[in-house]
Amino acid sequence: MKNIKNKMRPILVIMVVMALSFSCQDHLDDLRENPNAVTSIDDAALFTKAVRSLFQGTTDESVSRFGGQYGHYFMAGSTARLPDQYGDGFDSQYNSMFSGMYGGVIRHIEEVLDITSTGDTKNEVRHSIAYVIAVLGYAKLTDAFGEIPFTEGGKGKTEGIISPKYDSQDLIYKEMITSLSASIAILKTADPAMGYPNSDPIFNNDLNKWVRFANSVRMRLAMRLSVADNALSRQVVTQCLTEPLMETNDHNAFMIETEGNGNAWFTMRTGFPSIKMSTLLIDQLQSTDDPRLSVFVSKDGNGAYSGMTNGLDDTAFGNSNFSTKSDMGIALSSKESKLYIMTASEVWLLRAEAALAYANDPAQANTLFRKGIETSLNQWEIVASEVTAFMSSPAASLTGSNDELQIGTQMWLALVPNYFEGWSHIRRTGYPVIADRTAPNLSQGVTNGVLPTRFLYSSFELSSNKDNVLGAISRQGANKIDTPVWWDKN
Amino acid sequence: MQNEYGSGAFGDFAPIGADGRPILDYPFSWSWGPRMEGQAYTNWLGQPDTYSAHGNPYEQFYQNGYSASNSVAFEGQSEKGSFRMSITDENRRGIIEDNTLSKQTINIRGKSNLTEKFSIDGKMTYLTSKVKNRPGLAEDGANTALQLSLMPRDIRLSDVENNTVDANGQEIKWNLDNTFNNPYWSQNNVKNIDEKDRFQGIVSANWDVAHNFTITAKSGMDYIVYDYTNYAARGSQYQSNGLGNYGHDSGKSRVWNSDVLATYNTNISDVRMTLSLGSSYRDEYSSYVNISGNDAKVDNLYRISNYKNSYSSEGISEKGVYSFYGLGQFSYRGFLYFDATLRNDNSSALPKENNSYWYHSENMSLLFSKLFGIESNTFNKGKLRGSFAVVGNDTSPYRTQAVYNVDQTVTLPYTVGSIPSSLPSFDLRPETSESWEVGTELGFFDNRLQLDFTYYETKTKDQIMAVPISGGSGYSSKVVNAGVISSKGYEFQLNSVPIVTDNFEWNLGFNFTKSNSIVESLNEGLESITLNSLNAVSVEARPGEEFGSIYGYDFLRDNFGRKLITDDGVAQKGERIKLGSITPDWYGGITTRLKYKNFSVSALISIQEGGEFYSYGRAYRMFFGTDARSLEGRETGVIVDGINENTGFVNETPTMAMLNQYSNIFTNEIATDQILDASNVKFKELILTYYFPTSLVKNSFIQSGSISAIGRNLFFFHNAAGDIDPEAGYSSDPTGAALEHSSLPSTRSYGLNLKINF
Repeated sequence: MKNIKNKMRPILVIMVVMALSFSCQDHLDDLRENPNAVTSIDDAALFTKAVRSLFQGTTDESVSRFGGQYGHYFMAGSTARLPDQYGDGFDSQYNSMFSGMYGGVIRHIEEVLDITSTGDTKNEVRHSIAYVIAVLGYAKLTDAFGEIPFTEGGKGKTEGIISPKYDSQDLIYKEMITSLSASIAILKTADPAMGYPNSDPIFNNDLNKWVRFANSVRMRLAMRLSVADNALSRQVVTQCLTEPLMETNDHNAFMIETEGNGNAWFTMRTGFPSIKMSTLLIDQLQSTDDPRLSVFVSKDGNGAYSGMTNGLDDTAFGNSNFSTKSDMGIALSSKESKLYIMTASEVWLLRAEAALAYANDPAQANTLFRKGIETSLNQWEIVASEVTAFMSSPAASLTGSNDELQIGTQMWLALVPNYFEGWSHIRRTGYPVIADRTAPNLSQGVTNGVLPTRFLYSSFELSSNKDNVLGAISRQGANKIDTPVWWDKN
Repeated sequence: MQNEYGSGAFGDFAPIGADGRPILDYPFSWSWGPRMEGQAYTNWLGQPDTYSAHGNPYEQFYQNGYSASNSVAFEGQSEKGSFRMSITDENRRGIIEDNTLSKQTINIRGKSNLTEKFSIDGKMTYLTSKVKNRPGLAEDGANTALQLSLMPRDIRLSDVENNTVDANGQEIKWNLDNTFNNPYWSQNNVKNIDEKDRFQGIVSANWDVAHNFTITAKSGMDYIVYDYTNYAARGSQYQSNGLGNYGHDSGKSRVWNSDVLATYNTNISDVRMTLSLGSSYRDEYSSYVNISGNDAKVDNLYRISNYKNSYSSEGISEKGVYSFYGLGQFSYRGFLYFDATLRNDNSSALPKENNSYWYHSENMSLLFSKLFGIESNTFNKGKLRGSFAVVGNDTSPYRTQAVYNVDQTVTLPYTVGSIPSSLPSFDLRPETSESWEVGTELGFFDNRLQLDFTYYETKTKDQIMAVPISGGSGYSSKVVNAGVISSKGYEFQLNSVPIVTDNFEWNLGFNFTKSNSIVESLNEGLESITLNSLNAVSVEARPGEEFGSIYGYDFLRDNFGRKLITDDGVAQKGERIKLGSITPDWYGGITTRLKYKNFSVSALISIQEGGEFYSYGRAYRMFFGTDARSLEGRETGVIVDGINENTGFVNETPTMAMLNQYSNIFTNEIATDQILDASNVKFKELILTYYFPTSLVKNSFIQSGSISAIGRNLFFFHNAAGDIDPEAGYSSDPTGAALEHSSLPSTRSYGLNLKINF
């Protein structure tokens, strides 16, 4: 008996040690699980995140400091006005805008595209809807920076790419158009139950509206290629006209921010940095008796409309009495004001431009032009009598002598408050004309007074993704704010 | 600080606005106005005044801080056990008004011998502290040092103090930039309180199983509860757009460590050995709840219900590590020593496949003076030592799993989820660090001259860090095993007692350290890791370079390194290059102590040679025109050294001094001129002490006592960076020291220390 006990002893010890280490391992496995988050989620929750980020992007620094001032809609106060002087010393902002656009829309929509393309969660309807959002996210990025990571963009998690290669804007636009065409084809016959019922912040899962929206976005992209790739532009526009487009204000893609302090223009108007509307905008609206004046612009303390001239140098700005000038209109900048991604009025005006340029049909162009203006006036709930009065004024009909300018100017107005798009529109068409800054009281910045055409790649990107970004610079041109992006051939 | 030019720009005053006050928007809120000659002008408040400088605002704003610490201790001992208790009370006041610290510590220790072979020992420390109003730093609008350093030189600080709020309750400032506060407004209206309670307890039991075999079990806990509140009143644009804000963070953390160790001692002929086997479990747990709000409903109430918008978040974190280890210590005849350890850790913070890792270390030392029997009064000690060690390490929990967060929303009818911005690593490996060192200790003249020299090399592999990555990936950072960093260096220390008599003793010591770290390679195809950054300057790790290279934009130069100047006489932005390194060439110190009878004087001087840092604070003061260096060329313009980019001739075109600074620093973000040499020689410490003579205390209950006068951070014998303390870093990690931004003034401290032992 004693013998057995002696022999058993080491075996017992080994068993106890093994049992102990197994239970240790189980305990460590339990602790490894993060208790603060989940490991799987319905892609609808990530889709809403991406969509909300897209709308929030219409009021972020890329617009309040850059796009909106480059678009000559307004002038911001304090340090936010500095980009208006055409300088480029904004390294930290270039970095935060680049990583912000990727981290908001792109990070979440790439995940949705991944979830909806494989396994049990494969769903081509959701995938097609999500792609429209992805296109809008990437389009803003490439319009701002030129070449960007696209085929490898936003794939840090889904494909483990942390130093993504850059793609030419040419390729990006073509890919976006092709994918939108695929989305439209699927969504036309899709079952709404497969979409995002109860989780669609824009159209409440109305797939008919999604088709119109996707096709209208395709139309916007196609027209952006009017100079850079005229043949493709014509071909895609023709295709767009055979499918439903956004036609009434019911089709508009907008969102009302109800969280936090609401529409960010509210805080920027009432607090920092303070936004004053531009002389260019006020003059345009006043000279044509446009009823949108009182919508877009608030009266100043004296009951008049007084704007800021964009580009004033420091001395002139100091003497400008900035704080007394007209604020952004209440309809655009109250807490509940709508945020817009795309409107029917923009689509009518794109069609007017296409009718003129591609169909060579001035009469049709005029009809579409008038439709665009009327839709815009109704969007802002202008009273019927004022609509009638404006529609019968000379500004509301093409004269045949300067139609591109008229269409371009009305487009600039119709895009309000989507100011970033306004800047892109000016870069492509040259309307309204933004004169080179030569007057002694205007700052010429680093562009010799010429309207900037892009944002810079930041120093952080030049360190962290050096080879890829240097490749982009060698193809596209120097990393300067007056290097035009590919579609900007004007 | 310069005292010749006041507020304005281009040599002119700011235009006067409709309210009769100058419009102090940029650049007119800078100190680039006319020369101050006592002329009449309208001051920033819109009042008639004379235009002149009003002294150093730092001296007027900051107060003298103080600190006082008192402690008492009791002790008792008997055969059965011992007991000790001490209580310390510490109070400090900072250089900013209302910045205070109050801290109390209680220590209790008891030991009881239950039987001859079994004893238990317990120790407990309770610490409670309350810090009020930690100052705002760097770009924080409430950083008073930033505001004061940029305040136009003609503004009276008393005017700022007496004009903080207007009739509508809005903050009054000299500057329209909403990212700045009036320093008195922020001092009065931006507050924080940090309370912390900490309990540390440890119990151990010791069992002498046999005379050479003991088993010890220990269990100890470190438990911290904290509570942090901060708020800003309504009325300042910088603080939540004038709406006011409030935050309240609370949480607790607990580290529990338990181990069992069996130790066996024996002698085999001349070899003494101690062998131990042990095992431990360490559990780290923490949790927090944070709430915040903005848009106050009524004034002067700082509770969450008073805010129209409120947000909250919470989290829990836990990690466990099991360890098994063995130790062996051997000594041979008192001149050869050898220690070895082997240890295995298993951590929940690493993925299952890689969660086990090993440590080991081997140390050998040889007292060769004893071995060879060459010890004498002149050469009394000679020792050689060598060691090799491998150390493993895990990381913080939850970095190996991809997750989704659910966003807090109040009004939305749908769910919003989000993906964390940092990518996890699914195949994380433990960090390892291999090092070896050799050294010698030599003693001469009865240890009146002692020399200690060490050479070491370390290779750290697979360091775990969240590396910032290209935004194009969709993410801001990724947890990776970063790469290989190797360091080598040597340390040298000399202590001597040149003179010693009955009443007099002089000690003198020197130390010298040189260390160099190279990034050998980076994993995952990374070209660079940004360790820290400020403005367009970053501290980076790039393969083949020193760890901690400073990168930033340089001037545009030709092939000969000459600046290329435009026809307007302005320098231009060039390439982003390495502008410096955080690593000093060497550093060292000198210590000395003179003792005569009951008096002693000791001093400490530190020396650093080489190494650079970037001062954004200097950059700000230069283009705001408050720095004395900005006086150059104010009247005549500055002719920038370089060649004209079009003609190739030496530049002779002057440019306006203000535009030169503004263009280089602000518009072009050229950092070259703000990379400063960190070399310095500093008088760190001087202590005068008087020891109470034993005759004085002999017949009292006092056993011994002393009184000292202490001065710390006294002055620089030499400081290459001029008016900036190279140690005033931007954040506390080593790379943060390379970036300075309008830090609070470094303080010189003086104190008295009375020590009495009963």
